[in-house]
Amino acid sequence: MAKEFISDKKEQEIAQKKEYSLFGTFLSVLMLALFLILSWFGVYYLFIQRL
Amino acid sequence: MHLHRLEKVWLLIGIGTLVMFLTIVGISAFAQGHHPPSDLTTLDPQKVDTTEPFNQPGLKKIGDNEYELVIVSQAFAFMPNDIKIPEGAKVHIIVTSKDVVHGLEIVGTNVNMMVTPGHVNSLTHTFHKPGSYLIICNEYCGTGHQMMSTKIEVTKA
Ligand SMILES: [Cu+2]
Repeated sequence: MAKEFISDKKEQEIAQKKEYSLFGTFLSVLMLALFLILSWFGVYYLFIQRL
Repeated sequence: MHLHRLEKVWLLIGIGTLVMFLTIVGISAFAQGHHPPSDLTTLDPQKVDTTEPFNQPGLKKIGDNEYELVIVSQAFAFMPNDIKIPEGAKVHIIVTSKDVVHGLEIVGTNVNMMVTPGHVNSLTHTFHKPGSYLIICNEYCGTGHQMMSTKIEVTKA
């Protein structure tokens, strides 16, 4: 039992050191950025059209 | 503190956007003199009828195809009512309110002002296309707010 407990802890440490993949999150952030930038240009285009 | 590589990238993008935004706003405000559409002139809202230039609302020619348009707004109308402007005219719009807060928006243009009693607001617009332009009040000002509108007729030169 005691031996098993130690190996569990070791596995936990290894899991914590491993970096999670944040690629999906990164892509989502970039998509949001693209949406914001396109909205800004859209508003600016409207302003120029109405000058 | 440990940051993921991709976290650093999107933080940099965010901070970069903020710096870019503040730089653009700073340059346009301090170097180019841009400001929100509001005039710094004040007047007594109870003496609008006797205060220049609001004692004579209407269109005045001040130059070569350049006009001054003085508008007085009150619940629930704009003075003057029928405005005719030649095509391509550069118009300096000057407006104030006799009672409550009104709005002055010329639909389909960048002209959009808040008209507060005691203050004068102004904006310059060039009417490139002939046609009928609707002026509406876009600040809720009372029970007749939805009827508060007038028209500008831009005639072919
Ligand atoms: Cu109004």
